[in-house]
Amino acid sequence: MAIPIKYNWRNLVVRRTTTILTAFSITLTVAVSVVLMALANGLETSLSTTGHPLNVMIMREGSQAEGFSSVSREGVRIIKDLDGIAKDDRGEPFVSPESIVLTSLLREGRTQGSNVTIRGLGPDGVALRPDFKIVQGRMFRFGLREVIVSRRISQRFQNCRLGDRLKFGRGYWNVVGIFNAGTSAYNSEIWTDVEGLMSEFRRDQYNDVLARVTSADAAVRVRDQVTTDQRLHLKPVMERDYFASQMQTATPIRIFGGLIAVLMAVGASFAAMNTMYAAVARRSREMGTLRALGFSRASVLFSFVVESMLIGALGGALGCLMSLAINGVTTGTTNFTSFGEMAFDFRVSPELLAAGMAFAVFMGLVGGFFPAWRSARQSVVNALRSS
Amino acid sequence: MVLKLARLLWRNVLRNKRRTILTVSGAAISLFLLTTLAMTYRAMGTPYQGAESMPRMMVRRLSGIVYSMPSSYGPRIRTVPGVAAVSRMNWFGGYWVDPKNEFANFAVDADTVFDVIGEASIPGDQLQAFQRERNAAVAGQRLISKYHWKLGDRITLLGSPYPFKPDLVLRGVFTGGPDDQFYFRFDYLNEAMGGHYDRVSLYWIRLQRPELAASVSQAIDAMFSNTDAETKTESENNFLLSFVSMLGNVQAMLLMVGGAVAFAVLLIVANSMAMSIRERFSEAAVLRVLGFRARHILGLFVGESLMLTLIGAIFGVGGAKLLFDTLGLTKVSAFVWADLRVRPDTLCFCLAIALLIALLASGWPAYRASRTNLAEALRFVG
Repeated sequence: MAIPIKYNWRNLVVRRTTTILTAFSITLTVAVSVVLMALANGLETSLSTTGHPLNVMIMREGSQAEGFSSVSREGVRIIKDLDGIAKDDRGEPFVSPESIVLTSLLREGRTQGSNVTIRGLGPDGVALRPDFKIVQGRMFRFGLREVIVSRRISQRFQNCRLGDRLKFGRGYWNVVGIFNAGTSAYNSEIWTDVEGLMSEFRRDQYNDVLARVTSADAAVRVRDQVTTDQRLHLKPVMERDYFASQMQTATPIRIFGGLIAVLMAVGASFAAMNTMYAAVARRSREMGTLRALGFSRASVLFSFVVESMLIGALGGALGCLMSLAINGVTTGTTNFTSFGEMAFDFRVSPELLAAGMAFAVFMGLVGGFFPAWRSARQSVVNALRSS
Repeated sequence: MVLKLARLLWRNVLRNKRRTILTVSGAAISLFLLTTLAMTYRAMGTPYQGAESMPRMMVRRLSGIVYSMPSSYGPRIRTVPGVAAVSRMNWFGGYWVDPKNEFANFAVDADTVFDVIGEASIPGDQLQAFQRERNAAVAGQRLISKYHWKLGDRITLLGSPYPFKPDLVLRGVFTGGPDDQFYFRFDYLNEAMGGHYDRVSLYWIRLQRPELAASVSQAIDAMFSNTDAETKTESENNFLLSFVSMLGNVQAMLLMVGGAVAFAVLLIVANSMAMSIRERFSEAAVLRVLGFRARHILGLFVGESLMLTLIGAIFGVGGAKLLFDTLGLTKVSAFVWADLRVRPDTLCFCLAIALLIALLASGWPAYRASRTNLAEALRFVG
């Protein structure tokens, strides 16, 4: 027969101050941990969902990132003629030769610039990206110094709103549209046409080529043709794999977050332990009475552990609630492989909240276990005698 | 009287050993975390102490750090009034043996780099060897100690974005200045890249006087404006800060977490004090009946709180200082380098926070215990 939970709840309410203080230290631990993990989550999501499964990026052999790669016009011609390359709706090879430029733009309210990726796309470039959608304005036209800006960049940087004139390279460009590209890394870029970008920066080589293949087998055939062709010195990477490999930026944040969570949790557990030891000492006579009435040692132990876990649950619920405030907030960092700005949202997922609650209850459990053990060990007679 | 109270205070602290240990440990761990965060926050604001007043500046491409300038800029920059010395400086980005062994390595002009640095000292013969031998390299004392290198060691740098692996010989050690850095010769880089390598990532310059910073930067940037390779000249500190800002809004994040941790320490100590004082409410009343004044009671309880927190601070803040001084970390993340040690002002700040927490934690309950109506207090059953 277990001791009713009402007993524990009543005790928590009577000792309001200490309950609140203990629960709140658990709240802080949970809130901080969830926010940091939401940061890592958001970063990973923005990188892992980039790409159509049948898109292949073709770059220079030995390049770590698009920005450091180069593909000649001749190379693009050869790629277009490979067996396995899909056709677009006009019957042309479904490929987009692309150019990447990094330029330093000013964030709103800052004097230090950040590097933003400007991507020049071929005519099929937009069609190759299924998550792409214009949300304001229109698509850029070729050869007219027009650009479209991703929504996140337009929110975070100066001169990137619809209708603004943006300065980069040797002059000004008109922002004619704002776009969204799902939750992918393309959401931190500014797009324009590749020939216009190349002539602005006096380039004669593209950076890389994005191509659609007809099937997974075709991908293998294309890969073999590219790697064995002596003229090319190129290597193909599935678009998804390319962006996934750049996810390493998220790991340090997870480690940092984990470390902080553990250290704070130890502090919070010690507070809970303090509270529960005091509770056990104070309620010795009550415990003795309950034992005399017939409740078993196990029931008494269980009761105290439940009380501590209740404190944990209270703290955890408040902490999860507090952390919801950060969900969806946009922030950014630099992808140090491509050196471009990468904007992403904090993502508080249901799994994260559940983990936060479980963490809080666990802290309560750890805090309550030893005191509860102690309470159960006392003999009934001694307990009844204590003041 | 004070001595008697002090003995009573100490006895009270030792009364419930378990509670004392839990409180002190909880406070220590949290204060350790707080100190680490405060240290990082400080390092993000000023990567290297004293950097703000350093008469050195960086010249880079206006459009971004990934673009380069021609070598012809060097002599032209040297002619700008106020410039004492110029060196080319290309980030090489290699590691030694294992990818974990990452440090700042650069290709520089051996003839002028130490004139630019200024406050470093290197033995004359070692400097001459660096300037004479093509494949010579020099490294700072901290780097040498970290990797246990000796003069004459062969050092090969791997994993660089540049397509070659330099095979270098350590010919000099310098102390003072940026002693966690490694330099080899620009002409070695040039030769390895085919002999006509004309891409300079940075020009490192030294000013004749720090006050000339604004006029020199304007003069240099004006000299190259309207060319294909426009420049941006900024102080070394601002240059390092630009990498920090690339990380994102780190400082806001650190403040938020730091604030939460500080508050958590407050809760831990306040919880403990609230329980202690509640249990000793009637005791305090007895003391007051015996003749102790309200302020003595206040002093007793606040003193207890101070003792707990300060012992926690010694372990927590002191432990952090010891740990980071020993580790001597310099790398925050890719490309973000800073001196990660607990600086004296950070130490004082954290101790002050601990003091404040101690006072706040016990303030209200101690006040109540010292002021409540005596009869009520004597009757009080906790």
